[in-house]
Amino acid sequence: MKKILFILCSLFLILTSAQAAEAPSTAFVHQLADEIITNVLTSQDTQAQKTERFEKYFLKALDTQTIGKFVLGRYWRTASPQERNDFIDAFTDMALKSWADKFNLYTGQQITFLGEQPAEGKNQVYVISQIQNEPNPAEVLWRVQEKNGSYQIVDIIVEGVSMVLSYRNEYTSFLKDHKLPELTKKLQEQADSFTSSIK
Amino acid sequence: MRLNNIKICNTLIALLMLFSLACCTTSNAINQTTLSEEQNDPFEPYNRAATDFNFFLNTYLFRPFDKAYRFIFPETIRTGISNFSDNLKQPYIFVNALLQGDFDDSAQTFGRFFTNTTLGIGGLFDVATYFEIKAPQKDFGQTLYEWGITNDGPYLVLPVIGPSTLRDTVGMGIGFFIDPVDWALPKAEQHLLWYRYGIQLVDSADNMTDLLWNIEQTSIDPYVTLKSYYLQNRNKFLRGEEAAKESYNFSFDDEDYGDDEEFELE
Repeated sequence: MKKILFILCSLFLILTSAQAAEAPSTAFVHQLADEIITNVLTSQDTQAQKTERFEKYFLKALDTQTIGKFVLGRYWRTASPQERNDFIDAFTDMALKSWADKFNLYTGQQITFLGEQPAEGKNQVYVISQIQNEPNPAEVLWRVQEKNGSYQIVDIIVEGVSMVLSYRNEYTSFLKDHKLPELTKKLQEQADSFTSSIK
Repeated sequence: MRLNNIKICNTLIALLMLFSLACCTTSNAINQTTLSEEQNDPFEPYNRAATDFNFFLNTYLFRPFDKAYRFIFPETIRTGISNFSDNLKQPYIFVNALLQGDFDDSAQTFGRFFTNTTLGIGGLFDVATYFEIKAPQKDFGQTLYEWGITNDGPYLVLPVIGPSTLRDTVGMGIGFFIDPVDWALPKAEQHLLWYRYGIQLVDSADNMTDLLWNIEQTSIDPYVTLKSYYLQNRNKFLRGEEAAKESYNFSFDDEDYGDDEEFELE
């Protein structure tokens, strides 16, 4: 009898600890954050190595195709395949440099994961995290999309500010008086002249 | 200029703003659901000029100044200055929490001010956070919101200070008068307030300069980007997480999301 009770107890423990483990989307963001912190932000390697590594993480983790399509709004529909590709390339380059610069502000803050929330759209969730900051922590939500068992980030929301929504406001406002190739050209020029990289 | 004159000046500005706010709430009330972009930003030409001026200030004044500031003072000292500046804001936050009927936050703020002023040696050390006393953020623009002026009014950029809305600008103007720190100072010592505003400016330059620089370097239209950042962030601050989620929880499949309008508040 005691033995059965013991087995039941351990089974119960195993089940509850399995539940307490992180959900896959959270685990994905958690691991990504850990890797970027260890291998890029706090690493002692050369700047070139760190920049290259950051680029790899960034391109793998971010679904730039989905984001790029959304930020153009209705202008995506009227664009030719070539224009779309050129835009995505320039946009990705710009976003990469901009975020590398933002990550430079990292000075060793703790990041804690607080769970998930459903998001609009198929297989999407918000992974809720807090970045240590005095006196109030900053809330960062990672909108993660699951596709065939792999995960990618489609938006990052910092203290209520959605990265994707802000890009969309910026680009659609510009496209009111300009053509898409002009936007692409401008983005590429800006990305090329922006020299900031991971320190 | 003596501070008394500044106060009179501020009163006039605040009254003027209150008047314009009254006008704006009545004329905009009808359009609340159908606000188009132009109505949302009727001051755009002026706002753009003010934003250009602020980015110029940031690049040629605040950023070089902040670099020198960070070079000269080690982080511990900068944190102390930041704590000191934050502590002086607590009486103002306390009054606003009371005016909003938020007694929990007012108690926390009072506890924070008391703890940091005494144990934290005049506010230089943030002991309150160590004791897990909350640090609520309140301002008079928010108090006006809580009192029922839920219409933000048009987006408005203030020189040096930065993005705001008409309601929040009025709130800031009135805020100058209800700040207990200003009232607590004897008349002969009022010049000390200049140091206070100086310290606040240094601290906020230290907080904001990198972000502004990043926007200026990476956005093809820094005006739109800053406006978008500010309005989304302020929306979350005033209306909470649920309201913020309404704006960022769009569907990626919908190409016409928001009908191609800029992000707007009600």
